[in-house]
Amino acid sequence: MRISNSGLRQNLIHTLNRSLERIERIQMEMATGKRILNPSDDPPGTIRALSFRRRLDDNAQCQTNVSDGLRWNTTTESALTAVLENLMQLKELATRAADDAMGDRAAIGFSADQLLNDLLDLSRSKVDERHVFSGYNTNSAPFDQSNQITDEIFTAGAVDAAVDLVNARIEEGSVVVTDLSGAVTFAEGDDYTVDDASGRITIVGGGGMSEGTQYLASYTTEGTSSVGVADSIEGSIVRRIGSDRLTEVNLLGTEVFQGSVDLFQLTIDLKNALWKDDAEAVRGLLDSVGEGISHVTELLGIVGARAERLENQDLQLQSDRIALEGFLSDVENVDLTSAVVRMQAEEMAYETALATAARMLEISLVNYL
Amino acid sequence: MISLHANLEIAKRGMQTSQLAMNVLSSNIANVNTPGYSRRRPAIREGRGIDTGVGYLGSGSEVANIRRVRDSILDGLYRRHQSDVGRWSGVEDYLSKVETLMNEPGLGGLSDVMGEFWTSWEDLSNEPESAAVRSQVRLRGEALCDSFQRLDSHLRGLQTSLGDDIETLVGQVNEMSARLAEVNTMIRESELAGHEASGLRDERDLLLDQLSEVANLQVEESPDGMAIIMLGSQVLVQGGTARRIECPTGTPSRSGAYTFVWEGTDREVSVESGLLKGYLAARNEHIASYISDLDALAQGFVTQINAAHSSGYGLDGSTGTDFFDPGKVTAADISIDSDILGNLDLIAASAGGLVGDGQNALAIANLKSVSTMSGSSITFDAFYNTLVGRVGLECKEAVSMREAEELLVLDVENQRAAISGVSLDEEMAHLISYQHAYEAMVQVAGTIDEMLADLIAVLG
Repeated sequence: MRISNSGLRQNLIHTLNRSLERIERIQMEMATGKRILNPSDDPPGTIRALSFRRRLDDNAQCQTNVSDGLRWNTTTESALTAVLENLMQLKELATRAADDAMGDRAAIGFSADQLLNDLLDLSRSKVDERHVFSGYNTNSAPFDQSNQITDEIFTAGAVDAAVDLVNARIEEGSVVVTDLSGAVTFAEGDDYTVDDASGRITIVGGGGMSEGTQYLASYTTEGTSSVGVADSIEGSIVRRIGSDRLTEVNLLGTEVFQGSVDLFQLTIDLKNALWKDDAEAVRGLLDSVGEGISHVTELLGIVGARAERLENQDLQLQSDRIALEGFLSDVENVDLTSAVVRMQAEEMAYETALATAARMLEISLVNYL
Repeated sequence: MISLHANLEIAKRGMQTSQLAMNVLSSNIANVNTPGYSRRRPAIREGRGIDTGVGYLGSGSEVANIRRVRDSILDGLYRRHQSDVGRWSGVEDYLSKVETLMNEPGLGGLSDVMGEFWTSWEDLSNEPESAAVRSQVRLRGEALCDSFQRLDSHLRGLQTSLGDDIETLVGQVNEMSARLAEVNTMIRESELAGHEASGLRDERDLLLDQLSEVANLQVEESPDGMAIIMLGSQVLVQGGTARRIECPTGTPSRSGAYTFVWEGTDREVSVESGLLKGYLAARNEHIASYISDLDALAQGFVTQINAAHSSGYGLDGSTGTDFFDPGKVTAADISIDSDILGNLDLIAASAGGLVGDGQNALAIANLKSVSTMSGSSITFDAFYNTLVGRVGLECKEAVSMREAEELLVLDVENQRAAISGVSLDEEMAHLISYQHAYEAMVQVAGTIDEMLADLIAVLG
């Protein structure tokens, strides 16, 4: 075959260019650490890399959800533990007071009142300013407390025979008594007297009230005498912890505090019984306290199971993430060892080509003429 | 009887032959690096013989003609492959730009931005009360719109610059075809005397080589030496006339397909290969389809997210609001609804209207794994990934086609160089042999001169 100078030159340049191109490619791969610099380097690999990246996003999001869920759950759990503690104390108080030989029940009543306030505080537990027991109404406390009693119906006893109002420790002078229609208002002192501390009312002889008749009493107590649901408590707060796995992270206040036993009412009843020095009534409430304890214990079991589920999922997500990162790296990242070896091979090829070219271009018949 | 003078004449012709041949060789050597130059060969033949009565005696040597050494079949092959190289490099040129613009797989690509958008909704479902998280959702939404708009405007920018490139190419084709028509005429005129106009033919071949990179050509030579040059099945140059191609007048509509016609007619110029075809395909097919895919994706986002969003409730109890502006459903103008821009509370995280309810935000976040695109067959992410994969695949195809065709061109180029290229060594070898022939002829002339001198001295 004839070899012309231009052909020789073209081939040399072509070979050198191709060799340099390959070196540049390996250099880029090594510098970026990436095997895929553009989709065209490996179109199916690119699609896989993108989908692995999105799955990693999803994994990270689920981990965020799990840790957020755990915060809710932990808050719920510690509140429940405190409620249980509270009920235990209540039970201890009730057990002590149930003994007939017990002297000063009124003092224990103050402890029960404190426990009621603690219970209310617990019902207002928050995660970042969000009430955990309020369902979807996270901005407001689940329960309202009040010390106002309106229109409590009582039946008057005989003159000088005191009858019990529901609540003890009534604010002095706050009692208003009317007949059932509310038309006639009776006057304290003239028609009746009130023993504020024990919550007992007695009609006064010669007053306007008569034995055996029903009247309405409205009054203010010194402590909380009623607790009610503030807004509606509904809605389960969920966290997505896996691709299709949702888990509930909240308990509703009604479920916790007013479940099988209304814990607030129980405490209120107990403190009233204590202040009224009514051992019988205290004994009657002991069972309910026990029931409340087992209810809260049961809920703690649910919360504990949730925590376990979330923690297991957290571990699962972490190992998923390691696996996904491995997949992504396999698709996307360059194998440095093989890149270095390829680089050396290409470098040698290039140098050889250069050396050959340099010698070839010098040779000419002209040199020998 | 043959005279001594006839012998002297043979010596003269021999010297002339060698000298002429050496002229051709020097010209070859001088043009060793001239693009498009085909080496020339003097065809040397014996002078017509004279009957001496005892047999024919040669009358020395003469140069019959000087011709190019060239293979027109290789020229055809070269041009065909060169057209394909042009076509695929045109596609590659622009698709690799598209790839760079998409920036995938990498940080800040649309895929990442979409991922962040979904994540922000899920964060909102975890914390629907928080104004900070709400503003994050809006921010991510705006980033998503920006990414769409940026990508769209870049793609349209590429179409615009393709339009400019195509116009420039058409201008080049017109210039070159006009020059080809001129050269055609010059060749015919020069060859009337019967001698090959080698230089002009080289020029014509070089022009055709260059033009073949732009568009696919077919060349036929008519007996008078003029070339008929066809662009596809249509005549571009015939004899001394070239037809001009016309670009769309005025400001060409950049969005529609870009076509051009033969000047003075409505007939479309059909180009099947070459850089022109590559640019046309990149503009009218590849990039246009990427834009329409992006539009479909943007529309999917607007309709799906608005549908989910409007069924939920904002912090202020509002419902039925759109998240994206429902009147803007293309990648070019997708944007967040102005109400949402004005009031974060309108973002409908709640399914029932209560503040701590993040169910609707979760439902929106879950849209990422719902098959919403392409007739409810694939997810947003998968749709976009497919688009990225398609760009990659089409670019890769262009690259490998271009590389394969380049190898073929190189191969044909080598064969052509083997035939037409100048080899200095070869020319030098020939030069020396003609030099020797010339020297020998001088020697012959000298000998005859001595013989004549002897003759005159003795007889005179």
